[in-house]
Amino acid sequence: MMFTYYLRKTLRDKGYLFWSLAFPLLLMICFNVTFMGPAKGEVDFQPVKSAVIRVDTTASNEDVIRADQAGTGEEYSAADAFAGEFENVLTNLADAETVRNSNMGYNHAVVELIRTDSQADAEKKILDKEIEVLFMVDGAKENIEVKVGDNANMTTLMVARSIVESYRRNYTIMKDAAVTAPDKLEAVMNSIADQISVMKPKSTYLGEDGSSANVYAWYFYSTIVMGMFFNVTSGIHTVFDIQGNLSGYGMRTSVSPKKKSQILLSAFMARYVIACAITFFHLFALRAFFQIPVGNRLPQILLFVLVGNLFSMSLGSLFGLFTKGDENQRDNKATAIVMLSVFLSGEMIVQLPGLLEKYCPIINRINPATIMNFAFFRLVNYPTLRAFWMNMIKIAIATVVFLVVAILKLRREKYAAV
Amino acid sequence: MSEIIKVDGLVKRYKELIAVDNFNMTVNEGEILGLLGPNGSGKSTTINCILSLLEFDKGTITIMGKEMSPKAYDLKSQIGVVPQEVSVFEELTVYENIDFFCGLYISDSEKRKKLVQEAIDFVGLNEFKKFRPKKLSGGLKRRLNIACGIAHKPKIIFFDEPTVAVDPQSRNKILEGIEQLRKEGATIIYTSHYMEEVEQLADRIIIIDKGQLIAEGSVDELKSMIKKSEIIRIEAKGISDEDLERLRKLDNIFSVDYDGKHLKIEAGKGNNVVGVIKLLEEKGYRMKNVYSEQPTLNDVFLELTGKELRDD
Repeated sequence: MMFTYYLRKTLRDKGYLFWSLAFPLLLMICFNVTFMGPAKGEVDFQPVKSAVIRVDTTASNEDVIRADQAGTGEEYSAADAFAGEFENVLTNLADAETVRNSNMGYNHAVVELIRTDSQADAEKKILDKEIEVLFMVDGAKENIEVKVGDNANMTTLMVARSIVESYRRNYTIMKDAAVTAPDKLEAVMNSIADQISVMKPKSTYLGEDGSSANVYAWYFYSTIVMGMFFNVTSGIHTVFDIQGNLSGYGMRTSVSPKKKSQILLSAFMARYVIACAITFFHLFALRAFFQIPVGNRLPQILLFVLVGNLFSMSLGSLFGLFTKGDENQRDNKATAIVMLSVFLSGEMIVQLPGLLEKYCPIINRINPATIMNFAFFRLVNYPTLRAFWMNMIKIAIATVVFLVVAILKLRREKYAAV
Repeated sequence: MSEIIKVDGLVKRYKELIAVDNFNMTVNEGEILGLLGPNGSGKSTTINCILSLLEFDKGTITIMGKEMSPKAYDLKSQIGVVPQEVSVFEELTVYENIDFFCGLYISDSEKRKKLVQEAIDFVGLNEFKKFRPKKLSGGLKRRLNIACGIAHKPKIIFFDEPTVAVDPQSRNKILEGIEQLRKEGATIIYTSHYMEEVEQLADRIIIIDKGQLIAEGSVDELKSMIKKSEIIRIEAKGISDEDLERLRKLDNIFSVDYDGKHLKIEAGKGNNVVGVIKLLEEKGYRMKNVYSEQPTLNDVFLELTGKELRDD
């Protein structure tokens, strides 16, 4: 009966549900919108189906440059050079091997070049959705117009725009030097890579063992941990529910003939079950709605969820027992601490753990949110689980210590003992 | 009547502060005992010790002949508590709250269902039973607070200032309810600093101050303890100093104050009004609005401790 009522009571607590369930989901949606699905990683980054046509190749006699790299002494008009080099860049971006050998950081081609016979043919193919982007190069005006098909998405647009902008910027440099050289081609490609870098799974130095992480996945994993850590309020509410000196209903339960340990267990377990269910839902959402990998190590994921929520609730119990103020004040203090912990773990600035590792590594060692983030990241991405277990052991030890201290404090309380 | 609660030599210290100082009291079965004292006098501490919510330094507490302790579950099952603050769960409905707190005492769901409905009927919350507490007025919340404490039909009920911040209508309803509970056989310990309520309800009153028992007895017994048992107020103009002196010399008169229009006379036991009026009539004073006030519990407290019972 008590368990059911505590379950009902928690499920109707709008504040709790917002912070623990809705807020992390909202953050995930924000991250997803901001990065336009980049955390999907390379798997979902398909080469952009592109075609290129020249719309005007009128040569200008005053504006002639020599293609030294060919060594043929053949002269090109500036218009030919502009269009030709752009085609050259696209050809290289369409070659997976060339892209892999460059330092762009991709393992696949950036574009897939589709042959077209004429502008009309290209436009027909756009309508037929055979190509996503049509680059219309006007060499005389040194202008590239981009036409986008209905099947193009934001990613396609971004890639196309990046290619054009990078080419324009670099071609100006090339032109100024009056040279078109192969080493400049790499500069163009790197520049394109920088422009569209938001699309690739960027890595950043994070771990004490030199591990790196997909920064986008890291944002989402931090959010999972944050959701779990908001359960500190559940720990506080549990203490308030049973302690006669903290609340009127605590007094009522304390003077009742029910054993305090029984009430404590009911109140704690009801909230714990809900907390774990919420985390599982977040993980489900992560995988199903945001396509963020959560791995397939189910027993370890289960352990991660159980230990993480137990940790936050035991921490909350300590807040309930040792801090001052009414229930709301203690909630606010605990939430502030959780926010700080999650922030330091890189929830908003993903490079923060890396910076802390460099300048103040102790924070990464003791910050529970960072430890939990690493644990989950390693669980999902690492071939071995040693680092995961080390992190989980740290959290488990802290949980046991917190629980023991909380129970000892409850037993030593002047009010009726557990 | 047999003793249902006995407190003997209770001492409770908070570091240097002695909150309860060698306190003794008994509560008889079926009575309403008023525990009266100003804020910080030790009332709540005493109650918390009796309920085994607080450990105490010295003394013994027995309930129904058995020593009370945190693990005296058989005794606890006979006790109901109505705390001063409304102590219910905001997320549960009226029915669910009463059911939850009743469930701490009664496991049988069928029996509990009947008791919860009786409690709802008793406090008149039938039409609100699906409401959450935040939708209830202050008075209705107080009634819910009471229902949560009495639904399991306890033999002993502690009411800790149950009418604080309650409108007069709800207050009367609550006081009638408490009277009804006594009629149904409950023993009630009623803690308040509202002396009118205690005076109206209690069979017996214990006055406590600074953790010590100051006085004990029925309302009449307490009032009889003090010398000044009547205050006479008369509106009369132009009473001379000589006549005021004559009034002071009347038997049983303790003090006479006069501001040129209002005469206030403090007198001892007996019929003093007749003598005062007779003297003023003889001297030809025209009198308006003659009042004779009996002493209140506040007067008792004032005379016994030298301070007011209420500071508000």
